[in-house]
Amino acid sequence: MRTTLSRRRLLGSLTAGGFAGLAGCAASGSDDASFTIVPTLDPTGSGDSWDSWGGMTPYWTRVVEPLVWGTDDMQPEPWLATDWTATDETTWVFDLREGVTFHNGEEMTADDVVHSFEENILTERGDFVYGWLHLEPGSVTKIDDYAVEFENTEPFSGFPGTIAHNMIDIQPPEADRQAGDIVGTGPFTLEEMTDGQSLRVERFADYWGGEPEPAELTFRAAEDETTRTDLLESGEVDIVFDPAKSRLSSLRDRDDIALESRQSSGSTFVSINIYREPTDDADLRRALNRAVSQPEIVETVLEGIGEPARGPISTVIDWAADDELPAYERDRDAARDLVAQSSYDGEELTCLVENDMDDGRDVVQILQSDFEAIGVDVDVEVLENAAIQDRTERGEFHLEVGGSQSNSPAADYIMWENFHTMGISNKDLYEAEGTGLHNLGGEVDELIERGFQSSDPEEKRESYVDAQRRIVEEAVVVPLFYREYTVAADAALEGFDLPPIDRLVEWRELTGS
Amino acid sequence: MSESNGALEAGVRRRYRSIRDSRTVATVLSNPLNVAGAVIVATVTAAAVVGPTVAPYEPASQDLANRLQGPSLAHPFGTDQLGRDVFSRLLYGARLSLGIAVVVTAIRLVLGTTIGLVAGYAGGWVDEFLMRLVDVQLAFPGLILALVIAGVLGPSLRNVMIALAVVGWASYARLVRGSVLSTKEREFVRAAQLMGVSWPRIAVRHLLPNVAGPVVVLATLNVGTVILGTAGLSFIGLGAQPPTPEWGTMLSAGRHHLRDAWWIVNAPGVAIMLTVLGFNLLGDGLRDVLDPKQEANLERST
Repeated sequence: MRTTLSRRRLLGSLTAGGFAGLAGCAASGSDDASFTIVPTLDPTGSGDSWDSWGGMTPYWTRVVEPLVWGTDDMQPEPWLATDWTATDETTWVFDLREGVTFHNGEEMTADDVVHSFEENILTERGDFVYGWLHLEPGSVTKIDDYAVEFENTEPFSGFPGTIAHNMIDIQPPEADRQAGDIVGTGPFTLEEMTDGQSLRVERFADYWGGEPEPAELTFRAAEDETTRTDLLESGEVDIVFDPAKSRLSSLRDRDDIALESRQSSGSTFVSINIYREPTDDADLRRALNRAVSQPEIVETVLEGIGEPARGPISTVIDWAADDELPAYERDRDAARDLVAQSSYDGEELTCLVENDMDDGRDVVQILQSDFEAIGVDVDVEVLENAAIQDRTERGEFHLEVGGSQSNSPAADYIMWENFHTMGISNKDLYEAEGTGLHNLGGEVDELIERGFQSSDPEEKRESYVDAQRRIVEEAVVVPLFYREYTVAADAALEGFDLPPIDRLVEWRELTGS
Repeated sequence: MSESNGALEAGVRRRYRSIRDSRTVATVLSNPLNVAGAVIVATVTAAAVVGPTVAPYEPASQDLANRLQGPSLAHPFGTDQLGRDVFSRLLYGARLSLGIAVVVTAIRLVLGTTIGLVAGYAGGWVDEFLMRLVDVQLAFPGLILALVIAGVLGPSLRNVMIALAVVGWASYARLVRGSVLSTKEREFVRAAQLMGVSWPRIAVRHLLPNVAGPVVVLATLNVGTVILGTAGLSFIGLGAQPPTPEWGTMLSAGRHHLRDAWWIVNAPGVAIMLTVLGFNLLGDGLRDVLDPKQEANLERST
């Protein structure tokens, strides 16, 4: 009898404990919900690029915020600034949102915006920012507590959309950012960070956009796609970006995991050095274009995640061209004829690819085989980023498998930096040797300048489309595919959408059921 | 003509009988593990020599329509993510892996033996200087140093060979020096010195044959280590460039398909494992007969 009672008690306790446990699990939708997310880059540091945030990535974590955000159709959206006006060709006035509180409890004012731009962005990060934002130190001034004026170095209609970027964030002067004391305005506060492993953020109850749902988010480091996929499958994490493509079909078969893909603002193409023999011959470049089948690459290596491309700019960007561009469909006979009439005499072309590039090794080997089929030999060099940069800066290559990606809704700089003679890719060699890498110069430079400066969307699009047409006609690139990114998550999760820029995903409404 | 043929035949017969009756060979063959090692090494060597001529496909030949196909009659070890025949790539890879291992080991052997011989025979400050060099080299973890060298030189198989050759010679130098120090005091060396024989001749004719046994053992064990080192460096992208069918590169490319196409990783993985095992077993067997007093494994892992 005594034994029976104790068993009942034991069973009762276990049942109660079980219910309590289930309640705990089910609490993911309640006040103490926490989730673990694995982005594609290590969130606690990636070389020197995140030193300005003490090693914390400003992407994905939603601790810091810019003045402007991006919409799903890649347009600038009011955020810490509620409105902006161009008062003349180069001057912008931004009205700031009132009642925005920093994580230290202070209200955000124009002084913080001026400090962030002048000290943190323009002075600290240096030259490359001037060319990117078309601002120079001393060009940001306070009008009143809630209005700031920006003076661009030249007419730049894409300015609001360009500063809609996680790295153009607003922090108060008190924040000792490089020591990891991040004081943002975002829906989450940085709580702890273990270098190379993970960082944890907590809900900021006074967030100007309303109290976020999740109490805590952990961002875990796993740059290897197979590791990310294993973490999700084992239930250790809730959300992973870009799981291994080879595992997509098995993930799709699982009821407890949901997969979603979205075309991103990125595009992958082969950039051709048009100032080095023999790729200075447009016939050879056109032959290379005719050797490749973009749909085959997408269907095989990419497992269908991506769109075959005709041009170098992702079509989520409003002025990107695709249908308007000439199509080089695979035709090996025509390609061989073009090779025969070109100046190519059998030498080996050098093709660079970055070792970190997803699927880069497979893509480059398909290209190598395609080019070999039309009689063009290619030597592949898989190098790390710094080595690639060194080689491209000196112009010592023929082909580079790379691409472009915009992390802000305005993507004008992609055209400028890649294809304008004074863009970052071409400028040094142009100034030193009168050449460059991928810049046709002349009419294309003028078209890019017109698109860059025009505030009329139609005129901007027309100019950029014309420039892209000339670039594709002259075969400066071999377009491969417009990128898509995939998010795999616990099927019970709700409350997050995928924008074209994956770094702008919002977690504020993330719930567990 | 027929007389000379007869003499040759007799010579070959004599040689065969002497090998057949040799106690050394009998000792080696008495242990089944040694036989297994010898068989594996012989098989891999045969694959390296004739593999590329009998391989059913070109190693870089792609067939995207037939990617990730499992083992079948047409493709005994399946196809990889680009539709290439894994078996053919494995055969071509054997020549590469074995070739690199033999060349690197030969460089290590020649470099280390020369330095050990000079240090042991010359003595004095030359010995001190060379042995401190050896100490410095042995103080570095081999693979880390090789990784740094390969990283600085840039990714290629040639640079991997340089990196692995640079880090592995010290074990030979130390081994040879020790043997030379004891051998040079022996009477036949002193007699040669008294007869006025030059020191290079003494080194080559009298000292070197007496250190050959342990060196051959170390070299045999070393071949397996070099194969592992090459595969390791290629796995992390510092070695062979696409589409070279190097075993480590194949392993690295296939790891993303471990769940859906296990053969891509397992074929080179098993090949590496068996080859290294074969050389280790053979090395152990040779040690038993050539260097029976040597218990400790002098080799440092790279």
